[in-house]
Amino acid sequence: MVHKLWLFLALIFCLSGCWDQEEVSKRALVLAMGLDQAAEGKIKVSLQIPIVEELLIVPSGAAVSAKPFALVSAEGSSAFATVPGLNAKTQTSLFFGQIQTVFINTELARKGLTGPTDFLRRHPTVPPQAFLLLTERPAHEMLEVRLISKRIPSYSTVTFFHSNNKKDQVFPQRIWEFNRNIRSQTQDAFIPLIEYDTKEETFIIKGLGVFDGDRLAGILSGEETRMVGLLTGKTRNAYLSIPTERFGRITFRKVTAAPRTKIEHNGHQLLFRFHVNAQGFLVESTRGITRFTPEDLEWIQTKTALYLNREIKKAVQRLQALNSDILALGEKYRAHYPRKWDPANWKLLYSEAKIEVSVKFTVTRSGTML
Amino acid sequence: MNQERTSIGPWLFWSLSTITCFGFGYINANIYNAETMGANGYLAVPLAALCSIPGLIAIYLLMKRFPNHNIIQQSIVILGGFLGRLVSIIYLLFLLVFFIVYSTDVAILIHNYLLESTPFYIICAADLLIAAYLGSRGIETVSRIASFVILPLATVVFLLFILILPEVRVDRLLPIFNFQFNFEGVGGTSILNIFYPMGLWAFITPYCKNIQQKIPRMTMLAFSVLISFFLLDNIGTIGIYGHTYISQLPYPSIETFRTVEISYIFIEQAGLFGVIVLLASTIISSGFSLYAISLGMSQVLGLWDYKRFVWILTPLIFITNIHLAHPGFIKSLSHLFAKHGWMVIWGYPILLSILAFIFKKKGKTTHGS
Amino acid sequence: MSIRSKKPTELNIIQSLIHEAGNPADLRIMPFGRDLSAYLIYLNSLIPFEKYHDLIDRLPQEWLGRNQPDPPLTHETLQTNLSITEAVEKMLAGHLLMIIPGASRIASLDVQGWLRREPKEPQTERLIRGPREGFVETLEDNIGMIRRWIQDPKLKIIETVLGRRTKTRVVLMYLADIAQPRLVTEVTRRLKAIKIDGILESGYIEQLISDRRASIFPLTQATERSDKAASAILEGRVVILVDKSPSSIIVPTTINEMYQTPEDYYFNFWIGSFLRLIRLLGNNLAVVLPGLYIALAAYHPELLPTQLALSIAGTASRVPLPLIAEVLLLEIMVEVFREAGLRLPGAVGQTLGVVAGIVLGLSAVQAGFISPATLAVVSITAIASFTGPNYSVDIAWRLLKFIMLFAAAVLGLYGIILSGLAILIHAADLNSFGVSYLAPWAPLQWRALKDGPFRMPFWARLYRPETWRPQDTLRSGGTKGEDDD
Repeated sequence: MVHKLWLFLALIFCLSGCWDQEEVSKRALVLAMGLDQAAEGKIKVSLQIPIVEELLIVPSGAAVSAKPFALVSAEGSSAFATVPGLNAKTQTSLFFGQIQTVFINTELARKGLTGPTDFLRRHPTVPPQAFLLLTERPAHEMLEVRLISKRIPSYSTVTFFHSNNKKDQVFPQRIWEFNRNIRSQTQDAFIPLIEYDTKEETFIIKGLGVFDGDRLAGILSGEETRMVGLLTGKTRNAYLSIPTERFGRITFRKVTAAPRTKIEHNGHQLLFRFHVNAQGFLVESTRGITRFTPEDLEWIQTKTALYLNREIKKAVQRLQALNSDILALGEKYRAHYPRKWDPANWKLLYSEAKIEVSVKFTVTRSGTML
Repeated sequence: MNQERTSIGPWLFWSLSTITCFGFGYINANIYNAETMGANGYLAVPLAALCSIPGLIAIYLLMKRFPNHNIIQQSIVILGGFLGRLVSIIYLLFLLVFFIVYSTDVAILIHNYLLESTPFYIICAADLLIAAYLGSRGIETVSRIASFVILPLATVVFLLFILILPEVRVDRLLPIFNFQFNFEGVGGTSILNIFYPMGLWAFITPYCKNIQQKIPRMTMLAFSVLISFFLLDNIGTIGIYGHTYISQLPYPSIETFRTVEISYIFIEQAGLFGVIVLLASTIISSGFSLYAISLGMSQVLGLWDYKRFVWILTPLIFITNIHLAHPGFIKSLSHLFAKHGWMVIWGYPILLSILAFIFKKKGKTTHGS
Repeated sequence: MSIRSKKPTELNIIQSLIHEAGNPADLRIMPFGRDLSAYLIYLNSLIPFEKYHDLIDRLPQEWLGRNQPDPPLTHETLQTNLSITEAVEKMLAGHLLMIIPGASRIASLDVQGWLRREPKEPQTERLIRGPREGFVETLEDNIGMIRRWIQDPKLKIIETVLGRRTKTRVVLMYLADIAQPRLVTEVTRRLKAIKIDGILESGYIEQLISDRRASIFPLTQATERSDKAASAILEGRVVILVDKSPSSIIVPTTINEMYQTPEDYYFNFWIGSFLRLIRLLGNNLAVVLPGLYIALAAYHPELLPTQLALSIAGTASRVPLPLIAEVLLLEIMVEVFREAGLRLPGAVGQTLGVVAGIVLGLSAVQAGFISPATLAVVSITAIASFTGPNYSVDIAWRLLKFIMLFAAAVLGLYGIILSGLAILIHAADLNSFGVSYLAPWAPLQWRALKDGPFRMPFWARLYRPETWRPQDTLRSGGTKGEDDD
């Protein structure tokens, strides 16, 4: 009897509808998404969907289509409200589980991203590790650019971020980090700014968009972004170029830093102390000088440290001016002064804080020349 | 006949205790800890372990007094036939409701993350059927499965922790020892919920007769593994999300694991894959709970045996699961159990052991029942 | 009818024997002895008599005289004073009957003259390194092979006869000071409880003494290798040899034993451990891969790397069949080819099987019936399923693969977890003669685990695995290696 019951139950499962089953070839895989501000306060969502048959590697080496993906767009009163419209434009159902990047237009970012990005954290299939990118062009234009290197724009950005040697000016911000940061009282978000060079048909990283709360507060330049990277220790391979009278232009590669940040509260004002231990490989001296003596190196190191000191201070002051705490100094303040911590007046304290920077730079290597 | 007697060895006992707590705890523990102790939420773990010790000692003392009886039989002896049975039924019903709430929560988790379109009742049915199959096979099978699964599971879990460490920011965990206990809402004694499943050991004390001397050691071993696991879990979650953000997440551990990314590995979203593997521990915990509750029921009512009761309870649990399947409602119920469950899970054995001491009740040393 | 009471003549005895035996066509009667007064009666099909002239000539002549006392030695091989019925039984079992003149005695001599096969390496248990000796169909030869491995007086050999009509001789072999006495008692009890018409192969006995007959997992181990059987005896297990069957049965067994080969011990422990891990990996792959493929491609494409997802989507978009139908069809075709390949003659069969697989697979892909990704997955599964050394457990896993496939088709990855757990629960519930089937994993036995997923070196394996509860746990005094000082 018991065996018959088991058989009955097994049959029920076999006769069931396999409700969630939808083969990958029958889904419209969304690889990239673009969010733009549309007219009348609406949001325009664009999706980049690959045409999978075009992407197959053909053994005979026949010419492949120049545009192996499709772009669909729709407008709606909120980001996810556009999905019915988008679904209507595709033959198969949309699948967000393979999103690589989300391009967000700066205009939309300035208005606040809590609403437009909420579905990215609620939808269970949206991968939390997808990258966010800001663009001054309309996001839907970025989704249909041609690239000389890769055929799918979104995928090329992913390889870019995965490459260790590229962590110079650009630091990835993933969906889960962004969603945490824009809702956090102790840290602000940032998103790399990306542009497209029509002549060279390639992407350019232009800077870093920094947020105050959920609104885009401003864009840091490449140099400022590099300094922020050194301050946060995220830099893996920064490049630094410093003009000197003695050695011409000195360039360093593989510049990394081990920063230490301290916050002091003297009663009514905060003091941010940044101590940065940076190091780099000397790779170029435009005067072709070799055989650096210890005094030469000491001089170079001091000069570079001064340069970094100045630039780091400028970068932090810029952040203060934009009221954006991407360095998570709020978290540090809360951790060290839990009784004084008050989220309501943190930003005021932050913008009025004093900054002290001390940098120590070490030339670790001078390449294959002495 | 060269047959194993129904008794469990020390390793089986350890793996059963560990996996049951693990399976029940990893889903919700972070919320309670973060709500109660803020950035110091990870310190709630050793605290909870300490607070669970009196209850475990009570169960141990009861086991020494009544080596052949489990908690249900002990209560019948201590409190008398009628009162003992009545109180036992209330105890078992509490455990049953706790299990129903928990199993619904897990089914909702699966429904959310893995199988959105599959009807909820199919997920519940599948889950409960396997748990019932496990529970109906008895303590030997349950403990063997726990023993088999514990090592690979522990490896996966600790691997996941290593992978989330780069994202942890130490500032979010500071300041240490800044105790600000929050007793409102979800906070307070809800931190004790991690170790509630250890109380289920009270149902299998007769099978631990031969390893009585080793039980304290094995329990401490289970505690150390569980504390290290939950500590890492809390450190990971609070270090990544911060204690204020956690309260917005229904399953903070899952979200923490989902941040794991290993570039270019065969499986993307390695964290989610790890979570799916962890679901195995959930089913084993469910199986053990079903076994314990059914065993208790059969002993209280004096009817049949636990095998039949498992198959009687399963449809009841299934029907209740379907009707309770609202996420907010389930979460609030599970918060309620987390906050007040210790009164029953630990309070009951402590009360019984005190009464046994007062009334000088003792069980037979030979196998009588 | 007692011969002694009536003292019939030799001819009467012969006539009674012929009548009792049913006058078979292969019955031969031959006079022998100095005065040809004694008779030899035998079945020509079992005893090629030409071989035994010397033997008969060397029999003590005193026996052959009339009114002689019984020969001093009575043993299984030489029995005297048999009744007619006993004599016929002996004759049917291949004994040579001698009718001693005058004393009207019937004696039987066990000459074991039937056709014997030369021991060869078993087809399904080939090794790269190791003896090329496998059991044959003759019980005595098999016992002899094991005796050559274990020259210990404590090696016990207990014989019993099973099968009403086949009267198959079954022998238990174990080491009396190592094997658990309760185990031996239980094996004997189960063997004695068998009531059957005929035992044609050891497989009959395997199924009849199994703890749980409805389980898909084999609860006894079968081997044709003598070294494997000897190794089992040395661990404290019991080996059952069955006459006319080259397959011996080893009890008790665990699933861990199914992944061990003698080769692991003949190579050094690095290689042995590596081979074992490969087997475990291959086996797991063979069971889980098709289900995992369906679950990932049809239920959870978010878990696939993007390149892979796009490539699977691209190739699958041209195929008319749904993914599950594709995988199921291919898996069934692989099983059909496998079974057909067994029946095809020798070398041709191997080649045809390979050619069929490659050609058919490629043609199907080019015709657009199946996608290359599915073909790759199913091929890997098929090859990986051969990594396990034990045929019975491999077949079991092949069947269970289908269960996981269906579970994945219904509930995706969660279905795989559930079905995997269900299989594990079933396996955890199994006992083989009181030993947990999942030992040494469950319950965890650290010492025995040294011989589990990897093989620890001999100097680290001083003790017998505790899984079989041997009486004598110490294997040896331990051997120091050059690394030890």
